[in-house]
Amino acid sequence: MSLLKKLVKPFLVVAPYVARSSQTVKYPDERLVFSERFRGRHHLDLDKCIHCGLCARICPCASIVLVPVEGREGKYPQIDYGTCSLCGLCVDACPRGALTMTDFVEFAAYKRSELVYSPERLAEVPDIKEVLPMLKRRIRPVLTDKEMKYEVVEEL
Amino acid sequence: MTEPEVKPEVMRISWGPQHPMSGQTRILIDVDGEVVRRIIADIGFTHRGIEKILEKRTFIQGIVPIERMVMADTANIALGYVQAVEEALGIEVPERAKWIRSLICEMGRINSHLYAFGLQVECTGYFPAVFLWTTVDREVLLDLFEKLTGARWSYSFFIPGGVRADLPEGFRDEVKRAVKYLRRRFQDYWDAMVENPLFEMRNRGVGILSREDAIRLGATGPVLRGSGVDMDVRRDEPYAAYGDLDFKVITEKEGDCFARLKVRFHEIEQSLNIMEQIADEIPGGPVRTKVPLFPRSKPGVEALSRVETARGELGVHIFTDGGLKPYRVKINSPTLRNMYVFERLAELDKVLVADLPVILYSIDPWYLDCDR
Ligand code: SF4
Ligand code: SF4
Repeated sequence: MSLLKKLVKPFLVVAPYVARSSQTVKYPDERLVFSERFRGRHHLDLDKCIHCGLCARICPCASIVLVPVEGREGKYPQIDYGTCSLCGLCVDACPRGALTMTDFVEFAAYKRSELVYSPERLAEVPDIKEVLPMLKRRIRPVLTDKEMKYEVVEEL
Repeated sequence: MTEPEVKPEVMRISWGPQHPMSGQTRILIDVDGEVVRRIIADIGFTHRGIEKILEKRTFIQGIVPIERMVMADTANIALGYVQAVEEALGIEVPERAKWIRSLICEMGRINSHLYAFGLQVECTGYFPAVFLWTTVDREVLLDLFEKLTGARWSYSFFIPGGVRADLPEGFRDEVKRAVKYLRRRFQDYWDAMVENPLFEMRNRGVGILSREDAIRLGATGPVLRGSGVDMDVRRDEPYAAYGDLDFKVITEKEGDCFARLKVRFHEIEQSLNIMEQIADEIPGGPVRTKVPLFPRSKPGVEALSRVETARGELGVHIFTDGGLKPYRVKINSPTLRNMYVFERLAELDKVLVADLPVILYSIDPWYLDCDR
């Protein structure tokens, strides 16, 4: 190949990309739908928990402490998301399946103490519309042979 | 570090740690005009004591901190540790789990090589678009990771005795589709970048490391193979499913930045082939043997595991004392060895200041790996 041809070729390769669909997710107007196994915020089922403390023992980041809950017997896990690495080992260790993981990742808070989630708070599943009022649609990536693009799963 | 004395005829420049292209470390360079006379890498800036942390974690808990060593390549790093634990505790791994491990490791290798490739292109100053391309294409792999392991970066997916979950439904087809897509993209990379004469001019003949020097200085990974040494732990000492897989070890003779880039480029192609093979031929069966949550070791056992990470050979050496935690974990990290090579390059070859970023990123440093 001549030098001139070699010099022009990159521009010819890049040119079609101008017309390609955008690869950016316009968060928080759009939000991705995560896969089923996605490891986000925990959900605790207070009725299933047997206070065994295995989740606290296995946690590599020492994020879990067992604390009492008002109106209930025994102690339940409290998770500090300031240190939690979302590894999911506690979920695997729980003998009763009381801990599960949701696709909720909006942790931002003003104070560190707000990152410590009490068992009562872990037991609620938050509504995404309350946390992200401006959310308009949920999208997911689709891969074709030629390109990666996003398709709308639901309009809110 | 006590700084070595500066000779009167040279000027000393501090490159980093607050510099976009140096990474999180300080590199001192003695320059004589445009020519670099000496490179001193002041490593240790990101030391986090991972070896010590591992002594305070049980065998299973250790998976999480060791992954933080190289975020772009967590799978290979975690595999090194998990294999060492399995050897120390005498745990068997089912065949299917080994194949899944290889699949994730190869996906991780592509992920990491894409990052290195994008950065090397970025610091030649041409086509910043390519760094964005590689970032977007990594997304394809990250989506696969998310479907399989539940996380996009630090998977914590390998566990003594296997992997934490089986492949989800339809995953093999998705792997094949991703391979097809990435192959197409790499053709574009090749046409736009590697064959680009401007890019070649900035990389060819820069930072030459001869075969003898590569061996003498203890280079590893793509740096070693870029100097023509045919060595790859995956083939020489097969672990996981690599014994059953068919792949080539890529070498290039020139030993310059361009050769190292080409090694990475062709390694990505080999990794894509491996991914396809695994999607086609993966055997059935269980993916995990039962291991207690807090396995107890036998006293006085030593175990060593070697894996080929994206940056080179990683060695994890574990000593046990009969407790629930390892007595000592020694990690031999690839970047540390390649940084020694980088330091000596100014003595071996004429290096210009303008070429330093290209040379540094052709080594593909990851300082957290270097300092641990
Ligand atoms: S996800 Fe991991 S780090 Fe977080 S609380 Fe559970 S075990 Fe601890
Ligand atoms: S492991 Fe499960 S059952 Fe045991 S304390 Fe934790 S959440 Fe409760």
